[in-house]
Parts: sequence; structure tokens; C-alpha cells
Amino acid sequence: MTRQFKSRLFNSAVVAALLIATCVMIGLIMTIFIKGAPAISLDFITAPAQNFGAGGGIAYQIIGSLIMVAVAACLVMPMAFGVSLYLSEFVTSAHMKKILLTALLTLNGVPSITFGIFGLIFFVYGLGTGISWFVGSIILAMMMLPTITLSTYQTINSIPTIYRENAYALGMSQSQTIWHVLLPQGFHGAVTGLLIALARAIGETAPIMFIATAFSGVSAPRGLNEPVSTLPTHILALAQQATNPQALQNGWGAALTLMCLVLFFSLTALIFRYKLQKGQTL
Amino acid sequence: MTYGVMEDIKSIQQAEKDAVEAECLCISIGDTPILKDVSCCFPRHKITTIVGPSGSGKSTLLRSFNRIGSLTHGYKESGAVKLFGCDVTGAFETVEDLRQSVGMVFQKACVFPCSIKDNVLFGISKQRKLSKSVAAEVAETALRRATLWEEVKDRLDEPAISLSLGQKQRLCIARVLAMQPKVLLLDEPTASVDPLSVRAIENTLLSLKSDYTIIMVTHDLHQMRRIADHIVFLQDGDIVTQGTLETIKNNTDDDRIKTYFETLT
Repeated sequence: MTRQFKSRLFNSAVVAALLIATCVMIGLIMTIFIKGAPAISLDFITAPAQNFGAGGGIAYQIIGSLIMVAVAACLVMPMAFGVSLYLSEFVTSAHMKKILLTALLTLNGVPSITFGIFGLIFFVYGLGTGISWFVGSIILAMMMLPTITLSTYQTINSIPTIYRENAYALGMSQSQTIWHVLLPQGFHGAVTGLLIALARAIGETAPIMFIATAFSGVSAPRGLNEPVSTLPTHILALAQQATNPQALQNGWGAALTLMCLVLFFSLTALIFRYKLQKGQTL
Repeated sequence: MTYGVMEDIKSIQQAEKDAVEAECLCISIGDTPILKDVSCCFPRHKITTIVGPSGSGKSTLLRSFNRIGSLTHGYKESGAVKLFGCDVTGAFETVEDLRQSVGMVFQKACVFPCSIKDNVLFGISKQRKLSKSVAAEVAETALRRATLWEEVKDRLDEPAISLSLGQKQRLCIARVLAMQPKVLLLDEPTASVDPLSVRAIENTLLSLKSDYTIIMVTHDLHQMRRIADHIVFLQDGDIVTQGTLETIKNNTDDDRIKTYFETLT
């Protein structure tokens, strides 16, 4: 086998893999769009669900999803910054750093249902919180933590030592160096991590199913201890009514809305990151 | 006069002459000794160059003067570093205070991701609050002293990243000067810049020496000849000799120095 042939073979394999992945993605998006678009209307977006979702809209499901994810993001961001700064600036032992990074990677790979079961045992039964959207946000924050932390850590860790040394040489303390040199740069990494984690969290059903959501009969929460309905759990409930075409169509409509929300978050975060990064990269 | 009093007078006189002194300085990183019982002095308002082969401990010696070396994992130090006659560990309340008095410019020009003006004020604005007019004045003075003002005065709000490498290095000097240090440490500041920028930086340093004590590590012996008033020659973590260029060239039989300085001619 000549080198040229090997190279061509490799290139073809890469292009084939790319085509397959793109086709699957386009197929998925097109299916959701074609099946979901007929259900979308202003009424569908703004009206509450009726008849177990077979009628009405998805207003409270959108509110529920947004509240849970937004609160989870607010809870997880300071934690992620803290952990990543601790890892990059305060842990001097390479062995300890390796252990902590392995723990984070392991946490990142834990199936989402495990988080749900933990929330059920610890919060709902252990602390007696009952079904609460806030507990759901805490669990989602726990799920998002390793993704955002690792992304932030990698960004902070990639800042050349010379920047730290220059800051220290200017008489800046460690806290000033962290605040004025490392955090502004780590922020890009955190936004990237948040973007990935948010996209994952907003589509999660398993971790919040038992602890934060009700499938029907809920409105916008008026306190921390109330359940909400979210888009993923609503889609799950509608998918179980397969014999009712109206329910199925609403399910596709909810799926399209969820996809658009993820896209909106991703684009917003990307634009935000681009604007921050412009002229600010070390 | 007793021996003790004589010694005191001697040390006072020395402190008046020298800005920085190292006394029996030993530095190791982990188990590797870098500097072995080094004693040397750096006269006030002069440019002293620390020269010697790679791995001789030049940068380590320089980095001990503002204790930036202590950031290195496994750094161990014994002996004393004196700044104007006072031990640096005792004379300053915090290590940050010391570093504000002993400014440092590194080999690689490092600008922060902000404007030229903000870069100049990066250090000082974290230490004290500056009004807009004072900040502008501080920035202008520092940039003038670093001989960069004429080149950047019309684009102070542009990102510092847009400057050339030589300009960036002078910006780093301006940033340090804005802190109003007493001593300026430079670790091979011209190692990665073009010859024109080298000359610009050298001229900047020559214009600064009347107000600052400048200590510079360099590998460039021609540069040393151009700007050094005082030379410290280091090899294998040990001081081989120190003095003016002529003293060193004429008054030594040491083969190490001969070999090293042969490259000059």
C-alpha cells in the first residue's frame, strides 16, 4: 500500500465520518422541524397546557425549563470558578491535582439518572424538601459542575506563566492576580463550558423527573418548594400518548421549541464569548 | 574606634554606594543547587549586567532580588539580599511592597489584554486609586521615560497587542516605571527583538540610569560593552569576577573569563 493511497484512504474515511454525522444531524433537525412546525403558533408558546398536554400550549413548560436552568447556571458558575482556581492556583502537588481531575472527569461521566436518584434520596427523602424545582436546579448544577469546571480550568491553566509572573512582579497580590489576570481570561472557558452544560441540562429528563417536576397540572412556581413542568418531561408525557395525534403533534412542537431554545442559548453564548474575547485574548 | 564600629561605618558607606547586595546567597530548586555562596554588589544609578554561560544562575540571582524566584516550586534560599543596606525580607512589610520598589521586566514582552494606556497603569492602578487626570499624567510620564510616547501618543486606547515586539518590551518598561521603583531588573529584555528595537531599548536604559539602579541579565557581550558600567560574571552558580569591563578584561588570569570574553574580540 503506497503512502499516497494510505493518505487518500484516511482522507476518505474522515470525509465519510463527517458526512454520516452531518446527515444524521440534518435528518434529525429536519424531522423535528417538519413534524413540529405545524404545532407552533403564538398561542402554543403562550398558552398553558390542557387535557394532559393534548390541548393548549407549553407556556409553563418553557417557564419551568428556563427557571431551572437559569438558577442552576447561577448556582454552578461561582462553584466552577472556585474549583478551577483552586486546582490551577492552589494545589501544588501534581499527584493531588491528578486525583482531583480524575474525580471531576468521573463525575462528568456519571449517568444523569444517578444524580436524580441521589437528589431523591438526599433532598426529597433525607432533607424532606418534597418535589421542588429548586432541588432540581441544585441537581442540574451538580451535573453541570464538572463540564464548566474542566473547561474553565483548561483555560486558566493555558494562561502562560509569564502573565502571572508579570502581575506578581508589579506588586500584585495573589488575589489581585486571580481577579485581574486569571478570571477575565478564565471567563471565556467558563462560558464555553456553560454553553455545553446548559445545552445538556435543558434537555435532561432523568435527573429531575423524580425530584422537581410534575407531568401536568402545574403553573409557574410561586415558591422554592413547588414542582414545575419542563419541556423534556412534557415531551416524555406526550410521547406516551401515542394514540392521540394531537398530543403527538404537540410533542413534536415542544421538541422543536426545546431545540430552538438550545440553539438560542448556544448562539447567545457564542456571540457573548466572541465579543468578550475580541482583543482580550492573552 | 572598635572593630564593630568600623564595620558599621563600612557597611553604611557600602549601602550608600550600592543599591543591591547579595551576601553569601545560596539558592537551590528542589535538590539542585543553583547559586553557591554568592556575594556581589550592584552600584546605585549604574547599569550592571550579569553575564555568564547558560545555566550559570544569572536569572535566578536576578529573580532573588524581588523574590519572584520564590514562586518556583521547591525554591530554597539562604544568605541575604540587601536593598539599600536593608535585608529585603525584613525591610518591607509584604513581598508586594518589595516588588513595587524593585520593578522587573522579563525576557518575553508580556502585554495584558487591554489598551496601551491601561497596560501602563495596570500595576499602579491596583495599588492606589488614580483620578483620570493623574492617570493620564502617570501614563504619559512613564511612556516618555520609556521613550515610547512619541510612537503611541495618538493611539493610547488601542489594544497593546497591536504594538511591535520592541514597542511591547518598552511598554513593559513603562509599566514598571509607572510604579516608581528604585531598582529596575531586566532579564534578557532584548533577547527576542530586532536590532533596531535593541538599540531603542538600550537608549531607554541609558536615559534611565541617572534615576534608577538597573540590573540586567544579558547574553549579548556587545550589548554589555555598549551599556554596562559594572559587570558581574557568573559561572556554575558562582561569582567568577565583578567590576568594570576594563578591570575584568585586564586584571584576570582566569581561563573561564578569558574564554568567555574572547568572543568579544
